[in-house]
Amino acid sequence: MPKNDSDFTKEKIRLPDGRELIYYDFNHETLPENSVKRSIKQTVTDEK
Amino acid sequence: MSELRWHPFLEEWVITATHRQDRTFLPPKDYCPLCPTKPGGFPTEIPRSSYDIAVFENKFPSLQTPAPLPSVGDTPISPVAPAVGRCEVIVYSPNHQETLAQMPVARIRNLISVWQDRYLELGKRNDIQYILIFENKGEAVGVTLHHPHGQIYAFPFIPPKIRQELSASRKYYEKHHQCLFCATLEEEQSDGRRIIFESERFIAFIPFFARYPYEVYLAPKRHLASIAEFTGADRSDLALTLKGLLMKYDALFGFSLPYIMVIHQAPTDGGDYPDYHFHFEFYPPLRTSNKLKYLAGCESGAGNFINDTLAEEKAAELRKVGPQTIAELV
Repeated sequence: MPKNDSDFTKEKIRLPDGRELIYYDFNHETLPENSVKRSIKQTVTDEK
Repeated sequence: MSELRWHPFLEEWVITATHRQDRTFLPPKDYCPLCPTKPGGFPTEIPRSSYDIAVFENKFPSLQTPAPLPSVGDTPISPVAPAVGRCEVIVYSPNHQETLAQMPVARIRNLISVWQDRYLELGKRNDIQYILIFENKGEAVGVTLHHPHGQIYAFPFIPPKIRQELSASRKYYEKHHQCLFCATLEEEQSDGRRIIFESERFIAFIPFFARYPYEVYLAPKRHLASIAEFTGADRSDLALTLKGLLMKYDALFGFSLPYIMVIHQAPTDGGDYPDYHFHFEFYPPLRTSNKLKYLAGCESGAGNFINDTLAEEKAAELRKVGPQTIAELV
């Protein structure tokens, strides 16, 4: 399986009843609409 | 109490989960358990006052680890087993009113990253053979919480519908040395009448054999067996195509369309699946703006769908409405 190249951070906590909860936080500065715009205006190979 | 009971006539497991009868049912907006917990406010399932995306173990799971012992003993024709596995809730947004169709493309891409991470993490478990990612949207399909969210069921076995698809794909591959889904995509692209929306890497279409009037398949154009193989560019392109399709669904009748959305992909049982193709399946329950497609006698009793519509005509309807180009989505 390929290495995960996502730019998020994960924080795992336990809820009071013992269940696991995971927060996924994303860096919106580096994952902006620009990257999406680029993917439709140019070839998308630069995002690999 | 949950357990697996074997259905000897269909040769498949039935999950019993009696505790789910007591799950939270359409709470008032101010008491939504999926909203962030505001300072001094009602404590929800999510302790933080803000988050991008949150994933947690379902409070009323059908599958869990460790699983309780079955409530009954088995017999030679009625095996029973613990309902091992994991059920997760994915909360897409802290905003109670938002839908996936309304979310900006970049945030849909974030959600796809979370789906990928959950597949990779849960797929490492030896007791998990299949990971089903899905969303039930709207009261028409039985939604009990309106906050935008999806679910993951991590199964200890490969569910029956997936087994059927794997078997058909394997048979076709052995005979033709080609992926069945790739061959289907070639036919759909060559015909063109059932295509609804596409980007560089993904395509959405009503399949030739659609069972629901507005049933849509959405898939990568190149052969990918699972979300684990997606690059960043794949995630971006999928986000665009997904948003385009969902906006079309909402534009169809002028209201937020209810649907069941499921992702079909390779099992995580350690097997090799070069013949299986990642794809979404969407089953909107409506056949008109105010009529439901019921799974009645023929569908429920015989497993045979009767579709009152033609895929070519319904695809033309969806093509006409909503965004026409990718550029309109950003």
